Amino acid sequence: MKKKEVDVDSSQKKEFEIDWASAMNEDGDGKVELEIVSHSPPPQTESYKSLTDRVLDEKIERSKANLITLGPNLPDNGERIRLNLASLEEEKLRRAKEGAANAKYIHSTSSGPNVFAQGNTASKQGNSDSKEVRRSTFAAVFSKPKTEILSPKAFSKELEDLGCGSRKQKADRKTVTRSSNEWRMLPVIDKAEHSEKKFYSGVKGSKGNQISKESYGKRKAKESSSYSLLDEDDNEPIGHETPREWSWEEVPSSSSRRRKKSDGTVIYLDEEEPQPSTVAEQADELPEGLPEDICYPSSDDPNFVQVCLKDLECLAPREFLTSPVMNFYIRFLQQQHVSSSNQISANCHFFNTYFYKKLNEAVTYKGDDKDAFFVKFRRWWKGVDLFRKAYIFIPIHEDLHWSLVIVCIPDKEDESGLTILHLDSLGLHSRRSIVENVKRFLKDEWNYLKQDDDYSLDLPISEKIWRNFPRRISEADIQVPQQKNDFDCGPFVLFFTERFIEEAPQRLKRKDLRMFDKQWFRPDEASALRIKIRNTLIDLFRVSNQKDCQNDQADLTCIEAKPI
Amino acid sequence: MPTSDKKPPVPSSHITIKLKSQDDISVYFRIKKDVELHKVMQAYSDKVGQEMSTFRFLFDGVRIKPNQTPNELELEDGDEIDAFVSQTSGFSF
Repeated sequence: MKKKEVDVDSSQKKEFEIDWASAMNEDGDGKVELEIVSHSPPPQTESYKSLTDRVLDEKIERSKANLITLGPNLPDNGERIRLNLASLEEEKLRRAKEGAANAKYIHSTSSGPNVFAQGNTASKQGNSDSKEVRRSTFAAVFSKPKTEILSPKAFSKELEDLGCGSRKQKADRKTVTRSSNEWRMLPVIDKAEHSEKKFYSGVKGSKGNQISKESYGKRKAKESSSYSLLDEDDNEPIGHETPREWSWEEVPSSSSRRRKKSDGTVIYLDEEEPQPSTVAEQADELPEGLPEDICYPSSDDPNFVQVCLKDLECLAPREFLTSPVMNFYIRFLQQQHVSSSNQISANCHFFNTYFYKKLNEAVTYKGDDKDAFFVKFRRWWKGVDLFRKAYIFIPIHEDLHWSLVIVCIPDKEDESGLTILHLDSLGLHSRRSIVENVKRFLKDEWNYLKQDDDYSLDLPISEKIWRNFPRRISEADIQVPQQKNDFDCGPFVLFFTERFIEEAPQRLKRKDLRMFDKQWFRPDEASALRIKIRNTLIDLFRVSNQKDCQNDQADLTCIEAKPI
Repeated sequence: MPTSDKKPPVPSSHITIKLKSQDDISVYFRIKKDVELHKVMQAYSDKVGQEMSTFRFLFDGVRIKPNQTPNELELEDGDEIDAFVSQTSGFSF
């Protein structure tokens, strides 16, 4: 009986996995994609079903080690190992998911509500006492069976999932984090990559809603069969799983109504699996006692950006990046390159995310005092000589979508004129109107500056271009990697910026435009930026906390010193 | 500009500044030059019925700190402060 089930399932699984493989690659064209399809993981995934949890964990560890040691030297850069690892982890997640249903059952029937209530109130107080309370009640219940039962991971994962049931239970998840150390110790970035990959798979796979529903159902069937090998009893309440997941899906999106709407029925069926780990990650990474907000690079810096602790929420998978985080990372990139030897960034000007709105306002201003208005507007880049820069970055925010404009200014020898690049990971923004606005802005600036005859004397722009400036601005028709979902435009814009700074020449020439195409980078590289930014921010929050402590101590010593 | 003519001349210790949101809700404030600007920010937020933390207040593209004063920022009479609402992304298909 069991065998039969597995067979039926494998055919189904294959269908799903192929979607996944192609989703990982951009549009399915290019060499890399082909490779991945040929290495498609379905058969492996199947065989993993029969592994015990321990063997599975070992395999994951080994794959990780291989990826690090062998990966770079392999002809495919370790892509195959990565895929392998992905399917292993998928299996792990699947088991976690399944386990969660059981845990839920236990809770709701026995100790459940009380434990939760305790955990929640304690977490709200956010003190160290609460940690112990939670640990003693919540974790103790589960950590024992965890170690005693043959499958060491089963319970920890259940707990993880439980935590996902509600955002309020974050604190509980933190406890989980500590007790299930092996799983938690995995490098964060890896997890992110995998879950992101799966997100894409979700989006792709759910092209037909029916398919995803089908595979959902079938997977369920298989889960019960394979899992029952380990723990027949715990598997019994599998029937509770479905309602639980439905309600679980509702909760995380409640923080953003818009997304809830957009998710609708299409995406979530296939995305059920990666989410538990990634949402749990959140709890994992937000240590206690961080300050409410930080100023970066420092509060004394004239161009500081402020990030609040709650801004970090938008870095969770599937959340929409908000301007504080966008502005932070743009500022961070600047700062990074200032301290490094990268010459290009010194030659760049980065506007913040609000700038384009003002630009729009300025170029469409119809009043009689248009000139005065522009002079006022110029204070946004006070002290910066835009035309001496090689690149000007303008993040665009319109219609709930982020895209990026880069103005490339040629050097004196280059007669090809200015180039406006518009990088849009969805192709959603009206390139024509954005480019038109930026052009008008550049012309206005030129109009203003050319009043001063001496200005252009030592300008690093060819005289010919300067004279005919308004006619020497062109738009380059470039292609860039496209996001495969509805929530990653923010990370894409930031990744465009990051990669551009790293790769662009001192001054862009026409031929350099070849660097842009749909294969410039893999979409999951951009998605993984969420984790990087998150970790960076948490580090900064920590450092800022330490500084505060030091300051406090300094104050104290002063007070003590005074009376003497 | 509707404000300038109907007001008494502004004493030199005061300036009139305009706080403007992106949906063009403008509120004018007369403020002493040595008063911390969070008073204005708070008043603006109350006026438009939002939490102060909803806004990012920028003067000429530079974020204003609540404890800064018009003097520190060298604000002049008639200057405009932008109240930006946090932008969010993500397009619904």
